[in-house]
Amino acid sequence: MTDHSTLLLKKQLKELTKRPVEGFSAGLVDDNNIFEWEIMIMGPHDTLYEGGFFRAIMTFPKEYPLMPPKMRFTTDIYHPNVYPNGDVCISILHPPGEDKYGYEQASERWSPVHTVETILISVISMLSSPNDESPANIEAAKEWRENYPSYKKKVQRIARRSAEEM
Amino acid sequence: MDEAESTAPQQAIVLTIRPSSGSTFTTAISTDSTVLQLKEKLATADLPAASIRLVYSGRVLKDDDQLSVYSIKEGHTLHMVKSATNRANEQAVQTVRPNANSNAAGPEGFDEQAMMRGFLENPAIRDMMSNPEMLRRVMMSNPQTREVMENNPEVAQMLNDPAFLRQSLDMARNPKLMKQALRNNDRALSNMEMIPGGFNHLRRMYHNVQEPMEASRSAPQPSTDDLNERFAARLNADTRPNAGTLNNTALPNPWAPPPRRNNAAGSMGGFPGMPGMGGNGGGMGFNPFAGNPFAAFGGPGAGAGAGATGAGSNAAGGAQAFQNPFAALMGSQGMGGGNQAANPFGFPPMGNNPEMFQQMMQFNQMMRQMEQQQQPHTSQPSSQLPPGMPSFANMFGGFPPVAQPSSTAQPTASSAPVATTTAATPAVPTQPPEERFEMQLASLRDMGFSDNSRNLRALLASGGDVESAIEFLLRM
Repeated sequence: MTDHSTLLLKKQLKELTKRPVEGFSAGLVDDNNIFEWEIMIMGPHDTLYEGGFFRAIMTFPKEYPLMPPKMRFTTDIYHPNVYPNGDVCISILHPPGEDKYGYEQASERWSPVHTVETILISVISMLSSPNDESPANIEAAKEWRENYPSYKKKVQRIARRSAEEM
Repeated sequence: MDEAESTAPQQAIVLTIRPSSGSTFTTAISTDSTVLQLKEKLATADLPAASIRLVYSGRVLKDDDQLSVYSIKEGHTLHMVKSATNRANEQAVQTVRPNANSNAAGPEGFDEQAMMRGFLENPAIRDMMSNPEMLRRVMMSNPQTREVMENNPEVAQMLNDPAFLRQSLDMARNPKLMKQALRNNDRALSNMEMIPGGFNHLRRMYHNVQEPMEASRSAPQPSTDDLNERFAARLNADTRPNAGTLNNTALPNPWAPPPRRNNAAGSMGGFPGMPGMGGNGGGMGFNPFAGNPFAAFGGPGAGAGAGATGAGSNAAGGAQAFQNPFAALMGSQGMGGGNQAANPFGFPPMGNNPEMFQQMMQFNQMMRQMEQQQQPHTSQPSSQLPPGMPSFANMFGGFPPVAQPSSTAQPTASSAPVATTTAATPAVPTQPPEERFEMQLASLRDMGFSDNSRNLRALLASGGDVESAIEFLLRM
């Protein structure tokens, strides 16, 4: 099983170095460990995050692709679906199966067909359109809903700071 | 991954560079050169090396490092990004205004006006501006501007009128007047949108004037096709209808197997743009200029002129921030026309999310309005709605029948698969689904499907059709 996941991840990494996708860049934290990826998301155009550079670490379990990776932003980010500690909360990164709370259907959750690319595309789209149904950062979600101008200002400041930190 | 390759000294490699906008290109460089050398190689007139950021394998490359440090190899691709802070600094240098580190974002957008004002107060510029002939020559020296003027005599007339130019320059100098004028513009726009046919007129205006104007400001950028493509990609539309023909490609099956789901989230990307459509300018407003399709006139000659002289503080930042309500519009039109239309709406959680649902309804209303507007003014050739749109509106128009306890729950709308999707959103019906599907539930129970809530979900998903519900249950 481990062999399979290593192969699959290597293949994806090779593909991404040769033909990267707009909006992010991916590589390994340590060249000897294929299970830990370093991600750099470039704030998508036309969003509050534009101009920002957000680093993240993606950690794959040995069971990949049967189980989803975890993703954590290492750059400060303020978003309703990102926990204050940086963990990303999107449905496709949740382990497969039924949600006991009835929020998500099985089909929205992790499925082995997802790749680093599809995950990151989802994350990038999450940046532009937060889902406030099951917020990870309650404060951010509340502000996004109730005081958008202030949310906007905060996010833009963070995006700017992330660019300066580089 | 051959480790030997990366350590080989002085090896020239060909790298692919992927800029944040525009198409990729390749460049050859030796692996022992520093990142700074590579940047200098990539730098162009409007993108100096200092404001380039190179990203590879999840890392921003540092100027002093050699490329070999990052084990970049032949054929690998680097992302090239314009750095926002440096760009702002550059602007600040140009206008001798330190700390103006905003590129037209949010409230700081007003800084830009101040910069513009400072620029206009400069005696040399003032001198130049007071000479209409000179101004005209400057403007005509830009081929794109000239083209716009040639294609649109009205615009040419305006730009040729010294009184108009002077007036608009005065306005740009006076912040109060400027603000007032911008507000008036926004107001006028929303009023125009309200009158029948007005919307189409605005759209035409945008195509004929704004687009070329914009293109002339950011000359090296590829045409708006690129922008459209980005929108299409966001909306998940991978094919586009041929121009001039009806789009009769089938709508995608919202119940297609999971692979489609990957993209479902992506397709939502375009969604929030929609409210911006009704809200006009304000919705998107990063910059007082940005929300304003007439900024090309409002910040008039000055913007264009300044761009042409190369000293334009506003033109530089403005070009990037220059999206306007139509950008959002274009997106949603792509949605109506694009044959993937059903996809964003097939997104299950919507039913649980009243807010999203409300947005949908608003969108629907706007669609109807647009349809109505289209009727009295069919004389305008560019006013045709994309073919998918009317049926799109029908789909929502067909709501009431869905809510009725009909066993098939198939409304009269032409787009049956889509309509079924609407039936599937649990928030829609006025009657609780248990009652609505009482008979079907009973028959499912008789067949041995004992889990009532699962049955109900399956029925909702299938729009009340027992057979498809069974299939759904078996697959679950």
